[in-house]
Amino acid sequence: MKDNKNTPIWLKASAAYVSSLMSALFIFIALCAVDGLMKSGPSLFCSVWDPERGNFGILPMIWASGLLSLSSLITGWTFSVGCCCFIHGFGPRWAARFLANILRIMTAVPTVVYGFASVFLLVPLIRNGLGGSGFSWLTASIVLSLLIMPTMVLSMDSAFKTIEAQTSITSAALGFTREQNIAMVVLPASKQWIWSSALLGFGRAAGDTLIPTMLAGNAVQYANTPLDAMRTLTAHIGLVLSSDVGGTAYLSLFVAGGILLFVSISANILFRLMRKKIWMQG
Amino acid sequence: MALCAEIKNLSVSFHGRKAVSQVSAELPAEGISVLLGRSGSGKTTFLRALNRLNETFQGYEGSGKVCLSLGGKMKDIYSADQLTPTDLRRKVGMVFQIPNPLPMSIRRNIMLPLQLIPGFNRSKAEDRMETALKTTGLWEEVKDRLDTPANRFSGGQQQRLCLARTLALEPEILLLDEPTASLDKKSSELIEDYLISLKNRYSMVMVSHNIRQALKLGSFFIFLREGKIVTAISKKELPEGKEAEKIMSDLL
Ligand SMILES: Nc1ncnc2c1ncn2[C@@H]1O[C@H](COP(=O)(O)OP(=O)(O)OP(=O)(O)O)[C@@H](O)[C@H]1O
Ligand SMILES: [Mg+2]
Repeated sequence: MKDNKNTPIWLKASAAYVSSLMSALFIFIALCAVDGLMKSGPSLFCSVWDPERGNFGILPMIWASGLLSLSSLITGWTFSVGCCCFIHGFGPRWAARFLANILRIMTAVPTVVYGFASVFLLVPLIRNGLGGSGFSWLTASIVLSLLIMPTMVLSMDSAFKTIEAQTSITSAALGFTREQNIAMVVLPASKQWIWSSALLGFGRAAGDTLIPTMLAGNAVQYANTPLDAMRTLTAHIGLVLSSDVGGTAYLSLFVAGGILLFVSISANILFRLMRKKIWMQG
Repeated sequence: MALCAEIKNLSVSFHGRKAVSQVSAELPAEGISVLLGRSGSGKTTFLRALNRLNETFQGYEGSGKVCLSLGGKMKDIYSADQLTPTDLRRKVGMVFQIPNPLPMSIRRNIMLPLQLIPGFNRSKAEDRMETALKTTGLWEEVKDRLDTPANRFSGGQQQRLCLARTLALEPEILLLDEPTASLDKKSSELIEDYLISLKNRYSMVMVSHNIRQALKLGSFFIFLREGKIVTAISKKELPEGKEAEKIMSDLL
């Protein structure tokens, strides 16, 4: 951005405020994470969480966070692309409008409502239908993918709308049907927005705390089947903070937080690079 | 006189407002028919009635009959059992006022519409692309850059691409909606020359704002005002030279 002498002072002030706040946060977490790493060192990267004996293993939580966010992202993203195509011409008009409205309403539903409803509806269904306790990777993943869908669909949808408006007459004049225009013209042209909506979805999935805490069972273990319970980094931080463990256990949480921050920033950078590459290819 | 289009009592309205009302006309198969009129007089709407493009807009309502000469026969294009809109639009190609390449490479712009025709194979599509690009004089300019996004080319090149894209479908009738309006003089003249060279191969209906261009290209003129036809006149009925221009501008 160019330096502009006419920028109002309040704009400069808020920019300075936000950037200093963000850097303070980053520096704080980084320092505490380094401190945690020094103090509890190798005991962090094992599989046992037993703070009273000095075992602060967070590997199972890292595993759980990765597994849960990626699985939710893949299902949620796939369904989002599908929903978008449905809204723009593959479905009947009334159904498309209905779906679009449902998705818009879904953005306004607080996360805790999803969790609460799932505890009473989805958990028993999975317990009785598939076995286990019902609090599992699968349960959390289903709800989380649902939770991240509206944001992804709406961001893809705005790209679809713009590109469809630009191309639909042209395509119609060349003998395309509306479906063909979506599949062959709009979808390829919105590539970069489709990827960046995956970035949005990943951010939400990796950072969500409430859904895994309420639905994933919170057992510190490596979940191997979808019906196993798991504890994500976010749920772990929340749970430990709300019970009264102190000292080094707290510092290990900063390591967990630092890892989350690192992952989401690298994902961000990665997606940006991909987007730029797609953009340069035209 | 052989006809390319026969229009009876055509009315088109959008959101209840009439754009074309009760228009009847017969367009000759030979040469270029030119639609003239002020802005908002319904020229584009009239043109879009010939490939059923009006119905893709919101609030469309239409009535009347349009018959086009396709495959050697007069066909009622609005009757459901004769042609689907898709087939119709492949046979009646259209070039727009503003160059409108699709957001993809030059190659794909021309190949994609062809590949959507059932049973059309790729090598045949490649041949058609090359022929069409040569017809519009673009081949030498772009043959090494076929995979470059189409929007990186100049306006005139893009418009010739759009013409080539339409020609590649081997239409029987060409609709041209002010095809040179957004171009500079030199690019306009280039397009005009290509249209003249094509006028023996296709029936063409063109909208023009420019009387000089209309006289240079056209052989039949239709004047529209507020959605109605004021006059239809053939070039033979007009005097030569400056006088014709004056008569035409009086009719506008
Ligand atoms: N898609 C549409 N939706 C609503 N109204 C329309 C639409 N297309 C045309 N109209 C209306 O129909 C009338 C005729 O428009 P049309 O575009 O046919 O005029 P035109 O003669 O081509 O004008 P111009 O020379 O400016 O291109 C105008 O009043 C216009 O507002
Ligand atoms: Mg017009």
